[in-house]
Amino acid sequence: MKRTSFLPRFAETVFLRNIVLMQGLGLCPIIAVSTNLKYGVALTLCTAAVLLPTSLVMSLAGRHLPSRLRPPLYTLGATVLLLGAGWLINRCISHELYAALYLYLPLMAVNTIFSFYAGRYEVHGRPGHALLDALAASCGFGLVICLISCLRELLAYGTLWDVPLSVPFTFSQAALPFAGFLLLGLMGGLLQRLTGRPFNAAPGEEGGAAK
Amino acid sequence: MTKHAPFIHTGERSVLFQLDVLLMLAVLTLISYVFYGWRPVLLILCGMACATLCELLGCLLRRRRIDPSDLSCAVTGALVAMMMSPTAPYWLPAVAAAFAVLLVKLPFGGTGRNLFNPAAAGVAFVTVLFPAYMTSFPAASLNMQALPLTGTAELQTVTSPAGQWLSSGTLSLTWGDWLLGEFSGPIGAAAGIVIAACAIYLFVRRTAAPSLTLSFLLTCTAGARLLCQDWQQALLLIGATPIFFASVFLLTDPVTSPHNTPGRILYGMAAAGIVLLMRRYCAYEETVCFALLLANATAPLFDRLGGLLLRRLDSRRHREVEG
Amino acid sequence: MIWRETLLCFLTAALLQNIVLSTGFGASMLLRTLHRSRDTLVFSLLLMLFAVSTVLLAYPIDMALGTSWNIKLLRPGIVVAITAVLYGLFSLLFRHLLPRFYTRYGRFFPLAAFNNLVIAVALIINHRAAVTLLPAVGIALGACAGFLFLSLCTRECVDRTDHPDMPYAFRGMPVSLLYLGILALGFMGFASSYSI
Repeated sequence: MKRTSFLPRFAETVFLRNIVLMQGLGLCPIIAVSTNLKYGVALTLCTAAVLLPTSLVMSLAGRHLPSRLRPPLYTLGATVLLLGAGWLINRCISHELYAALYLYLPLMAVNTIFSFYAGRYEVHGRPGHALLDALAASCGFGLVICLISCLRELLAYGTLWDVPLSVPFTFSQAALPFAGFLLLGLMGGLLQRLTGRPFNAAPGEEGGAAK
Repeated sequence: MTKHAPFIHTGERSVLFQLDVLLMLAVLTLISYVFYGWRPVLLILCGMACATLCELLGCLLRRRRIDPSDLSCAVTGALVAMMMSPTAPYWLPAVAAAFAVLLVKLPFGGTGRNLFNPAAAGVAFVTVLFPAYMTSFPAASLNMQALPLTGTAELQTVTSPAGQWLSSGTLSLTWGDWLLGEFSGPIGAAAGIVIAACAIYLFVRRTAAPSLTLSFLLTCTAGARLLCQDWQQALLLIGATPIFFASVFLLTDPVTSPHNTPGRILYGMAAAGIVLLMRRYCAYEETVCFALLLANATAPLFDRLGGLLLRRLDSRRHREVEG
Repeated sequence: MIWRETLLCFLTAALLQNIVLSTGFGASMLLRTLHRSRDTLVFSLLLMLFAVSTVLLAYPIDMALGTSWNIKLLRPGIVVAITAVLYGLFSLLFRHLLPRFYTRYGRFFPLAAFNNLVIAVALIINHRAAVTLLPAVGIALGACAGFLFLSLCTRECVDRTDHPDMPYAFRGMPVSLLYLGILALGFMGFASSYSI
């Protein structure tokens, strides 16, 4: 991979082809738990910690596995990694954080991010591209979930990272799912407006699992 | 016979539609002025002004020419305010109108392209955000007294008939109260006889489809009978709540409803079913706008179904004629 | 009584607290499978198959394993493992018994099996809802019925927003997200004491 293509490709994946706003992947954790910046950061780190090794392994070894075994294998692998991440959060970081994310952390293993990214690199087998795309996808996901978390936490509770701020008004309803969908739609519209072109995922991009 | 948007072209016909609806809303505004003075009129003007400003902003952002014959934003602003209490703060219809135009209408393509009724969405939005303002209405004893233009916090407020039914399961309302508007409710839920007259005018002018309103109201009433003690209570539960207003002015929006008669009848019945389900299981006092949003989502499905039924009928008739 | 509870659970998962719109489970797949409108029904039926069978297996295993802290930590992994087994089993069954169906729709099997909605329903039933087996199956069926309803509606949204008046900033995913947001606002009308 040429060094000169690293930044443009990275920026394109983070912004122009943002996995949440442009491709509609990884919506579940954003809609459900992006009501506190802590949760957003925790989920971003967990996503990166799982997506990077999973994509790398699938790009190296995916071709050697029977196609029907790939989805359960990378899902189980991702689950093991996420259970480990959950155990670490519970033991070393915060029990409250783990309790809040208990349902959603392991569900990241079956999140469309993994099936559409890790699954896509099984055939192409370019580890460098796989790592770069996984990193960019994680950054893109993290950017969106952290931004939405900030907005929703400020609007709903008047805090940021549980630190109270002086905001003129709060709406607890900003923590509701409909607000999450609407904010995502508006952010997507703003991104498309700034980039100047709409993005439509092609039918063939439904993930390697579909092959 | 499934048609595709836009269902209202900015042409002579659409202007007539909008003028008819504005005329009927003006009649209801006059009634509300008689009941409560200038306050409800100012609320309606706030809603209309905000909706128009948001529409202008949208035109500027999209670098489109402003079409002076397009009165849909004014209609949206007026409808939004009509669903509110006469004691609501002036910013409330403005917030609802802004949400209606900026998030429900413009992103989907503007006039004639919206997939949801903007007024229903705006009212649903402020109901979720500010439930207290949406459930406080001036007591019936304040009817025929001009409300103060500012400082309505001291006024005696009560819940609407819908709220009364929700808490006690009965309505202490008579036919005379309903017909003459002697009950607490939103600006638009005025005297039943006036809304009925508006409905007849809109049906005669073909601005509203009677099949929609009638199928909706009949199904609602039949279902309400299951929830109420007797037919009088069931009819008053439908008539003395925004359900009646919505069945004439919101449900009949030609952009978000089916375009063939069988589809309309099925749509009206489905919308009524959703209203009744929400009435049975929901904690909100008034849910007709929420139900309308869900019904709008099913409108294309009923349009297709209605078109299929019509094609089957046509082919059968054709075979009979040939035979 | 049990049937009434099952029906209520079905209605709750499908309407009163639509799982897709109240939690986002399955929302991504909803938006991504819009390319194949004719296959929406097949995908939803497969989703139902995997959701119900996962619940049927996970529920008794949960009861047997108990509620110790270690089991609680491992429970998501157990559910995913159950789903993996079911995926293998159904793939084999369909490949041998309905080969034409499997040739045409085999690509949906992993998407339907390893789906947020399927795993989440099994976890929710254990973590939040104190229900017996039949109502748990009702929740699984209701979640998938809600998914199917939303798929059909969102498909219409995609069709009807494909026109030249559509602002280019909102073309594609943004308008679909706004559509789901307004639909979720509509479902707020069912907000009540009933919840899963």
